[in-house]
Amino acid sequence: MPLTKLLPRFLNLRADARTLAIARIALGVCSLALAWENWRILQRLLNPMIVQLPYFEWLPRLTVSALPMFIGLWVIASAAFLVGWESRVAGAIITCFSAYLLLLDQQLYSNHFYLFFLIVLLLTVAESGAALSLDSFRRDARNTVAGWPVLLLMIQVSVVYGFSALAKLTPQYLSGEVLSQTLKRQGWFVFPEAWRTSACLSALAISAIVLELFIAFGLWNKRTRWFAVVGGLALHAFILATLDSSRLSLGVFALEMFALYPLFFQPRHSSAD
Amino acid sequence: MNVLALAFFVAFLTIQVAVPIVKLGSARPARFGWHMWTARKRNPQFVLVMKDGTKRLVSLSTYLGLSRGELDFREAMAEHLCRVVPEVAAVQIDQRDSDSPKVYSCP
Repeated sequence: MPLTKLLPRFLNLRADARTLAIARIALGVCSLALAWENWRILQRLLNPMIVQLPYFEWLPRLTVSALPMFIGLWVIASAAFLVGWESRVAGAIITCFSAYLLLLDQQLYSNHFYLFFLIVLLLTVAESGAALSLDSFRRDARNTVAGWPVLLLMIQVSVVYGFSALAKLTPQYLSGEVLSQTLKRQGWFVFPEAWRTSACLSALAISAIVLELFIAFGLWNKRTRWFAVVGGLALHAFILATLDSSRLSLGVFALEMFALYPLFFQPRHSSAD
Repeated sequence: MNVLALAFFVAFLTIQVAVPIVKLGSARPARFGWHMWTARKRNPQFVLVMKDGTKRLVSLSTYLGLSRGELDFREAMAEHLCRVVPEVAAVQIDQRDSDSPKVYSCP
């Protein structure tokens, strides 16, 4: 098919507004959790005794006195995004605030926060307030929205799982050495000491890579989609329960990914509403 | 509008895929490459060499906001320690994985 015919068809692709709204609501919850997480981190980071690692010296640094207002605005925008009140404005505010923090200091980078920024950016572009929102009550609710941002969100899911798996193809990870250091040793769910043999940890490491690759590709196929979802739930449950990291960060990461799974189940629309 | 949408789609997709591909060639973990739990790095050790010649081990939690494997904060931390701790002549950085420690002289 010539490009001149393919491009208009691609841009006219439609996606289900409700599944996108579910993602918006879940990301609204993530945004509230991240407001709390960043409040705690920034209080520490803005202390003059803490080293500063800015990407750009010219970027104005947030002050301690401005922090309550910054987080307050973040919370208001998150709540508005969650309920779908002026969703695009709220999404734009959260996107800008996240971008600012990601650029403010290298210590503020985390994979779940960077992923949050990308997803909120796409949800803002994608008119995620078109359904299940206050906006849709006040204006006309729509059944479909532009499909191309939704396609980007779906690709993002595969990119995260796929590259996470590929990045683990190192001798250190495959031997189980990394897992032996990252599995927690104290708390309410501890990976049994008897299973911490190199053979067992190596098998677990390989299984994690295979599972991540399966989810990355399995979500796109009708026959394997549900298996991929179950695999994703199991993977995140295992990560949440066993890894030695912040429960809040791991929980936000899991919710960000789960929020996008329904996009793979939506009915496809090929033309405008 | 269609041109804008197409430009956004192509730009986002390119960054989305190209950056992690490039990062596959970096040491683990690298930021923006989705290197979650691919490696666990130990922080370097910092020793303050005071003007009177005595040495003091630095507790990193006092001066580092967040410890992450992707961060290379050695030089910035040495400069920072020279600035905030009085009577420091130099900062010795023990890399842990290499034999020779580096010494940063305070200006």
